Amino acid sequence: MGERPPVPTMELPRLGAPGSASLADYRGKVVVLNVWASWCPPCRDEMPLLQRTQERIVARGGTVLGVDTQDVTSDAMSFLRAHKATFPSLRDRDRAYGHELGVTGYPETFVIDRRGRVAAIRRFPVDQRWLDRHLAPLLQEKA
Amino acid sequence: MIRLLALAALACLALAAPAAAAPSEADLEQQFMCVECGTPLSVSQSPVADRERALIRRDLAAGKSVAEIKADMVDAYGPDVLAQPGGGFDVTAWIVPIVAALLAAAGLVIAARRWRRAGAEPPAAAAPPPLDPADARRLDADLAAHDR
Repeated sequence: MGERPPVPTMELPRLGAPGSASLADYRGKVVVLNVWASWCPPCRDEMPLLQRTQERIVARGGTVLGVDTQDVTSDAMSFLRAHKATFPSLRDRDRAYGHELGVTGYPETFVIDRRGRVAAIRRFPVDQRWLDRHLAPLLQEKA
Repeated sequence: MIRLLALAALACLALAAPAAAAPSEADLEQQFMCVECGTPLSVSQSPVADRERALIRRDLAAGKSVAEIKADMVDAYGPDVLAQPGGGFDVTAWIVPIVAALLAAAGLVIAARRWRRAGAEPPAAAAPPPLDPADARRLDADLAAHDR
């Protein structure tokens, strides 16, 4: 892997929970940052894999973190419930954070190391092979 | 007298009724943008535009006012969902260019008046400094020599 740029952090409201959070709160964890929306059909397709990934990495100091973009909260919550997705998500209602991240389409996934740096980016849906390739080495790194 | 007052009140209600009528979905679509494609919602076919329309329909069915629907849309999609500036800083986006144009026009009028005045009355030439008495005497002598 080449140089890892720091990931932008922005305080965003939590989806379906009170308060706000940012990526800075996840320092020390490997984060699979997934930018999604309930109106995005390909996002639907990758949700089961993201949920399985969450269950697999949570005990190893990792987490999937969703960024729900330009979405009605009730639609987004129904979407997560329908896919039995339990990983946390933040709300980027006006795509301000997406602009900072340089998101160009949906879904888009960033793998962030324990020091808050971007180790890999995937535009459009992720697959198991891509996640395994980028997650396994990061989960072994120390903070 | 009471009958007249009652009739007047009924007439007022009848006049006010059209203003209070619920807007149609098509009317409301004119007031929003598709946040994903940046085009008016009324002409957009993207999935997010369909979700925006669904929210408008739900709000209309719930009997919400235009202001409440706009608030819900901004809460879900951010201020860019509004087709026209709504308030606060956005209003300045309308006001500032108008004020700037008025100021520029006023500046042009004032400048044109000054230029016209300057053209009609050229400024008087400044008087030369008085001659030194010695120079004056020499000048007189030179002039007298030329007169001869």
